[in-house]
Amino acid sequence: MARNYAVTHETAAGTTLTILELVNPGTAARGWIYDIIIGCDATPADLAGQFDVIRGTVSGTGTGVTARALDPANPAATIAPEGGTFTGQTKTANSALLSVGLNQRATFRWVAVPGGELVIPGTSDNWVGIESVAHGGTPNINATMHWSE
Amino acid sequence: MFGHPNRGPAGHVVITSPSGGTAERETRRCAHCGKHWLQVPGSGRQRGLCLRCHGLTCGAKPCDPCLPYEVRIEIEEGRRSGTVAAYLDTYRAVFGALPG
Repeated sequence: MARNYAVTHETAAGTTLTILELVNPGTAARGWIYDIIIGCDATPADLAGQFDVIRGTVSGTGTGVTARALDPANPAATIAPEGGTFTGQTKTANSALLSVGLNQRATFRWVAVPGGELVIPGTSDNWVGIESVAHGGTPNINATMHWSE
Repeated sequence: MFGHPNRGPAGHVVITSPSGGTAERETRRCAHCGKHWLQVPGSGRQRGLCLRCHGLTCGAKPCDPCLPYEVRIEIEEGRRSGTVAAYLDTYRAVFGALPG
């Protein structure tokens, strides 16, 4: 049975800045992302932003974030989440798996239909993450991702 | 997980606006690159239908040749020999270049 995990992180929006990424540290298993929430806890303002869910092949160095098992009986997650900001990433060009334009006042949630999950390949250091492609300001962006292994 | 029919919704989007309204949309997934897009009837955006694997495609030119998403992932993982580019070259050699 699949094991489900969740992670949250917040990072200031910007231009091509990764907010949160899920890194596959090995080749043993894939990860499947099935729930994504993007919001903002800054003072409300009418600022537009674009967010993409992209893939990459080198995760770079970010801030380690602890994955939470949705079932407390589950072992620690294999997939390693990291939060922004990052150095040394390699992003795959034209790899947006999901793209959304969002007002800062709005909250966005995407949930996969079973079988429609975003796949984190079973390749060492491959990752899938939420990127702030462009934004009218630098408000704090709150991101949540759920995945199964 | 890849055995589902690839023409139905692959995801659901909920956007909560500050005015109190909530917008809900369906997303479809490209059978070749895995990209999700919002289903907006009447948007005028051209998508594709692969007559080989019978899945919807996102309409991007690189997704015209049939390289199913599962196969693409397996190539990237090294579980299949070759590269994505080599696979697409072979496809074009067998089936010919697509028009446009």
